[in-house]
Amino acid sequence: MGWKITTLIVLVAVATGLILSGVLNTPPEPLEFQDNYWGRGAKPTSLPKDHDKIQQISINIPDATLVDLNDRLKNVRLFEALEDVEFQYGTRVDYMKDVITYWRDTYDWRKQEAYLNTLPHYKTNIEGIDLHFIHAKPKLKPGQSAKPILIVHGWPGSVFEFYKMIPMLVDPTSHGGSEDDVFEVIAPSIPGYGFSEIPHKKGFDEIAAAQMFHKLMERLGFEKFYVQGGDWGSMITRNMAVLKPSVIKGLHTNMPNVEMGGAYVFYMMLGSVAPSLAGLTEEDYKRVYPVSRQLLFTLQESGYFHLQASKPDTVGFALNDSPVGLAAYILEKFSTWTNPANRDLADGGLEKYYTKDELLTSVMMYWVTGTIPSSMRFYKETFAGNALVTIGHPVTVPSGVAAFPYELSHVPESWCPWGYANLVHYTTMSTGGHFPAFEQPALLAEDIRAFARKVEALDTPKEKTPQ
Amino acid sequence: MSKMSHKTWFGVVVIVSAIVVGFILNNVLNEPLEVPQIEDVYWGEGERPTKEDTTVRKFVLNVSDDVLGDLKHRLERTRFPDSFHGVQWEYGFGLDYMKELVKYWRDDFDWRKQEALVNSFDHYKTTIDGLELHFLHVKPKLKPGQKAKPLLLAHGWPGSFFEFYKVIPILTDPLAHGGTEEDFFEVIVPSIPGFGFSQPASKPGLEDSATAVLYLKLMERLGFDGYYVQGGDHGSVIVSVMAMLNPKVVRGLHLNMYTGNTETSFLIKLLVGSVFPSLAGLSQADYNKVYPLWDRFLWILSETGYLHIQATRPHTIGHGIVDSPVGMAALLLEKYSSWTNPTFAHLPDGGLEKHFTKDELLTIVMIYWVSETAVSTLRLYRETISDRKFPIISAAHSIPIDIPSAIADFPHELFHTPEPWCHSRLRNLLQYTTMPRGGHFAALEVPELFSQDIRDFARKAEAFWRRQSKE
Repeated sequence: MGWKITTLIVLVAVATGLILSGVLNTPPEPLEFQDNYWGRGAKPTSLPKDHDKIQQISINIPDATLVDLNDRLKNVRLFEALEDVEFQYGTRVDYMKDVITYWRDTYDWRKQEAYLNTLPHYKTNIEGIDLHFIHAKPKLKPGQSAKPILIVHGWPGSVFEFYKMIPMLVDPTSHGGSEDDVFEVIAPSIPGYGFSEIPHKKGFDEIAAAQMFHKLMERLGFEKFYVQGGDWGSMITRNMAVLKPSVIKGLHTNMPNVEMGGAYVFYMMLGSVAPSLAGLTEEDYKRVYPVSRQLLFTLQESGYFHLQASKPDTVGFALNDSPVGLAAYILEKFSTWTNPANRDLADGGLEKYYTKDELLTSVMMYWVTGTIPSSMRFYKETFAGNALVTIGHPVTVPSGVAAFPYELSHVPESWCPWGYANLVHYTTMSTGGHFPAFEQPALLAEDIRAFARKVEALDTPKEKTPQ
Repeated sequence: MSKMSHKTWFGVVVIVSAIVVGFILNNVLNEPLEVPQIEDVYWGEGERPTKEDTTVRKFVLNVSDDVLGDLKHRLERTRFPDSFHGVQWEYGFGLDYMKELVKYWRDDFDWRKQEALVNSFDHYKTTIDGLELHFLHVKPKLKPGQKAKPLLLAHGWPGSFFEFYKVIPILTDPLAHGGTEEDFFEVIVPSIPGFGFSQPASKPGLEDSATAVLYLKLMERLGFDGYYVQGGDHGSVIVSVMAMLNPKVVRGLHLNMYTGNTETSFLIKLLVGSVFPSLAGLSQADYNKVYPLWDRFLWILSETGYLHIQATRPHTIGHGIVDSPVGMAALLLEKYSSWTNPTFAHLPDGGLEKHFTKDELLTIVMIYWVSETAVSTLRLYRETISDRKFPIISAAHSIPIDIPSAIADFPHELFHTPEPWCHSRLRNLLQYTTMPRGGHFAALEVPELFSQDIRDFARKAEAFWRRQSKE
């Protein structure tokens, strides 16, 4: 494409990368709890006595919403397909025709809703807004105890993507695990996503979410717990570990965030000629290089990111008003981020990994709640505040990484300590992409179990090191 | 180190490395200055037929009641996002103003009146290379002895032929608009394929250079062998390619958006100028408009999300745009705010009604909505960045142009290229006007300034051609 343009693009990419990694900022200030209030109007001077009550709820969308949706699906305006193009231009219109027909005529929301309600849902008001969460408690035998774990979704995900994995964690013996592998799972919806209330003020970012989730776990009575996250969930849980490490037993992530500063360029250059000197395994090398492939992928796939980080409200209008618009926008991610090769397939490879019901329910989580615009604002908030700067804080609690081959970027094990000072577990997975809980629930569940076992073993029978 | 010195440090590193690299490569590589070959493509379905239809047919816009009824139904059931405190247009199109606009659109906007306005100009369609090309052709009423200069006006995205609706009367009826007999123009305004009422291509590859080829063929079919071209946004690239490919027929090139060029020396000037402005030939005023590069870079970064997604995955965003009129309005009209004046982002209406009326803005959206071409317009960006096309666009930005040219430099245009930097490529720059006001959609916003500049340029160009024919 011309050396000048290539050079320019590389310079822009490097500059943007440096901005994103916060290397041009001063060293990060310590994270502290803030006096946040996300409700409408001014923060009330006093709170009612039962302000911290936890209410059990069930998902029950009004009929009117479903009727309105069906009406829209019956009157979809599409566009002409382009010859010889699959998903290279984005979601393929002829595939969306299939999806619309299914959605309109066959998809049964009430059945999916019943499935959603097989896990217990709750709401509680924190910092002025109602936080939604799932709290799945295992059936325990006398003397048995469960490890509490908070799992956090990202974008365009939701708590729904954990539905196959949660039973594996709370009922391990039915899913290839042992009695000791039992967990108690708390899965919140990030405010502005799914069934959580939308923050009414600017500034709700990963730090704010981390703080809120700490308050949730405290309210639920947990003194120490595991955290797990991918996508935004990875950033949020890492902030939780930085904000208050004393309550985090262990942090597991399938998308590690690491800040190497100038050393990154050095290691990347060294790794390209002497991989083992740079601490890279053969598999690491295959996933990290060639840099041009990674750079091209990032450029091709980050348009949504660029748009959402700058003008989320503009595109929000279309996606909140058109169900097919919303579905096309979201399903493209489930396609490309599960495996980039899916871009060359007529159905975006979607039905190789997921069912139409699963995909549509993922979309419905945004449609029935009207949370697509607020979910996208999260990207802009990330850049408006200090959220990215926090990547400069290393995580000190025991950490574990599950590295899936088709994750958006790969961090080799030897580079993880730059962000995770206490890495005790790293698995190089042979299959899976960006949504492993959804796509490979057994693999992710087993990895969380294996990680937790290692962390539990760190507590020796002798006195524990005071925190 | 403070934040400021980090930026300075980074800026210096970039400048130094770019200068060194650029210097080395400029001396190592010879920049070819050959006009690139543009393939002759048949954009219609299948193979090019042996005999093609070359008729030029009148076209009258007449949107069916069904489309209008369906639109009203969609507007009535708009699902608006949740409100958000303390934000005007900083996060994109403002919610409160959109609610006001949709109410007007649903209850008060009179499409038939706007349609009559659109039809007050003469529209035509003709098939070129398999595509139906839509264009306006407005001929002035001439008395014996009076002559008109043919002029092609090229729009961009999210523009359309409609943005010229105020300049067309000024250009075709100068005596009623402060001009003289010398200022008559015969105006041709085509719609880019996939825009307005021009048919979209069903094959990949139709971008600005291919559009230039189609426009050249259009003007030839209409019988013009010498004409002026004017363009902004994509239009400026299109007309620049026209001038590059066939300088014999282009009498003058007028641009209201000049993105400079991709010559190494230009890039070096840009970087050197950030530290030593006078070495790069810059006045203080010029310096303030181009630098600081960092702030410009950040602003451009915040404004180009749409470009990034449209250049990579237009169909992903396209589904929502064609199914939701409010979605389409938000995407298109956001630019009429930030590209008219970036400070308007702090106004509740995005400053839209300072220079435009609701009727004008909604007519622009309606043209995209009723023609069902919105997604093809998004694809324009994707087609531009393909490997095959970029060398041509790059050439159009570096091959010198020796025919008369002019730049109208509006203060709130997206790019400001200082005059001293224009001459290396526009070697016959007869006019460079630093406009007192106006932004990216200058023809719509400041039609008198816009038209006057074209008149002034054309007079200078005609004088140039007269001198040429004497020699």
